[in-house]
Amino acid sequence: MKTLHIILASATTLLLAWSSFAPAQQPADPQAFARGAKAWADNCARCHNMRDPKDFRDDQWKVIVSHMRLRAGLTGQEARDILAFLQGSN
Amino acid sequence: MKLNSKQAAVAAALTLLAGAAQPAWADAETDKLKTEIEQLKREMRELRSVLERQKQDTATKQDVQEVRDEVSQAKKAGGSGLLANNSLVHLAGYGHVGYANRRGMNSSFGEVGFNPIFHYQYKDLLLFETELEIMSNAEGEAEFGLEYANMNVFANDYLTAFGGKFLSPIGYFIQNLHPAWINKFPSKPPGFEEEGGAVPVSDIGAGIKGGVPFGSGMKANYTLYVGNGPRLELSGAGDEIESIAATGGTTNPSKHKLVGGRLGFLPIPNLELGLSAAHSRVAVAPEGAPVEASRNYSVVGADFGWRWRGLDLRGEYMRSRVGDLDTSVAPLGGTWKTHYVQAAYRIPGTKWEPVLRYGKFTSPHADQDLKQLGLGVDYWFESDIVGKLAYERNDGEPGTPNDANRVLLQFAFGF
Ligand code: HEC
Repeated sequence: MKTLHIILASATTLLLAWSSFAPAQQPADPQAFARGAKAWADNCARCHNMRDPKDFRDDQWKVIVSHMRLRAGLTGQEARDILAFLQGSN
Repeated sequence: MKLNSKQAAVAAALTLLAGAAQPAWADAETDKLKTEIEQLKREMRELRSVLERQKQDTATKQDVQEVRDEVSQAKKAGGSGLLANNSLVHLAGYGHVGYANRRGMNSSFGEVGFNPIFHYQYKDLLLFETELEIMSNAEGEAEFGLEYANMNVFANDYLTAFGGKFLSPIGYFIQNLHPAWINKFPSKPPGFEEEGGAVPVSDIGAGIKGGVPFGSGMKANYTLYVGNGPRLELSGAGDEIESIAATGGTTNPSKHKLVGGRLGFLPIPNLELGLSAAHSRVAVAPEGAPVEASRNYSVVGADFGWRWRGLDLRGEYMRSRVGDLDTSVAPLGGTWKTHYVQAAYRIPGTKWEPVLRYGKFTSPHADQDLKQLGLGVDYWFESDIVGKLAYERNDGEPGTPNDANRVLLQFAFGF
């Protein structure tokens, strides 16, 4: 009985871990752009000058925002919002 | 012309004659016609079947439209439209050229470097980042360095796991402000150099990091990691610890791992306060002799950065300590510490940004000590292209280069 519990618990944990691993497929979020604009203003001039959204293409911004998520300690949501803003403004 | 009766009679007679004579040669003619018709019919059939086949092979406009619709639907299903490609490769980086004039010593274009950064991203899951450093040295040769090369797995919104060689998460300047197009001063603050300073520069290991919301509008970020940690450099005479080798190597003679981290807190946007600490054990490895017993190593740091309109204020304190060890060839440990504060102000509506920086580095060796007041002005051609002119008033042990003032000129760009 005890072993079963352990097996069940570990399976659930693994499953949960895995599901959190797979990037969620959100439907297009109409608020993302507005939240992104604010998160961009709040975060993207802390270390260096603000970069013009027009400086880069959509695919370039995608990688840059991942890079900056690491540097700036952004949450995944902030990174997605900022990306939506940058890709919508370039 | 009107026919008269005689002519009409002749014509009728001829017609009759012709009619009577027909059977004599008509058979051959009909057969020939028949075979010709058969031939034509066959050719028609063949043509028709060729046409049918062609019809099957070529798509109509309608078919093309249907395929188009399918493709665009597949694209949409492929993930929020941002993920048209699963794999992305990206090149970033920066370059810089610098000129320095140290009073009483030579002046030269003493600095030229190019740092390419390569990124590989797989979906929203993985990011590899690699930065190389290519510098020119005094002999005209190129020196290569691997600044960092690491893999990051975005496990969920609040946690990213990383491993490889990375810039030290201890403190702020090294990881976040060192690139020449970001640092507002042409030189690094005293004690923040890659060699012989008071701060860890890079490490090889693994860890976790992320950002978390913290109450209303507040935010925090964290990094926790395990690495090979620093090594010790002996002085020329071999009886003193000259400096802490703070760039990450693939081994550590002490065989101990460093455990460290940083906590950042943002009570309001654009104000960040950070605390960092790391602990490990280090060991002297004298040339040709066995590695000594290990001794304590620790580093603590505090940093702040505040940006308000055109004003950029920041500062950092860092202290690295190596323990004493009686049995060592270099029994004395020591403390290497530094701090700096910097204020920069971008004059509104212009491309000019004056900068003021004060820094002080102290080490167990008086000739390494440096107290510095720096004054400079930056001209921003673009947000990532800058020209900098600065003056350093340096105060060190008399007679050492650390005691000579400098004029610096630097041009830097990022991309
Ligand atoms: C904590 C400091 C920090 C913050 C905050 C920050 N950056 Fe950066 N940024 C850097 C550093 C450092 C680099 C240079 C790359 C390196 O050294 O790894 C950089 C480089 C860049 C580049 C050049 C391309 C590249 O990938 O290197 C762009 C564009 C950029 N940042 C945009 C942004 C945006 C947009 C934000 C807001 C989400 C942001 N940055 C927030 C530190 C920061």
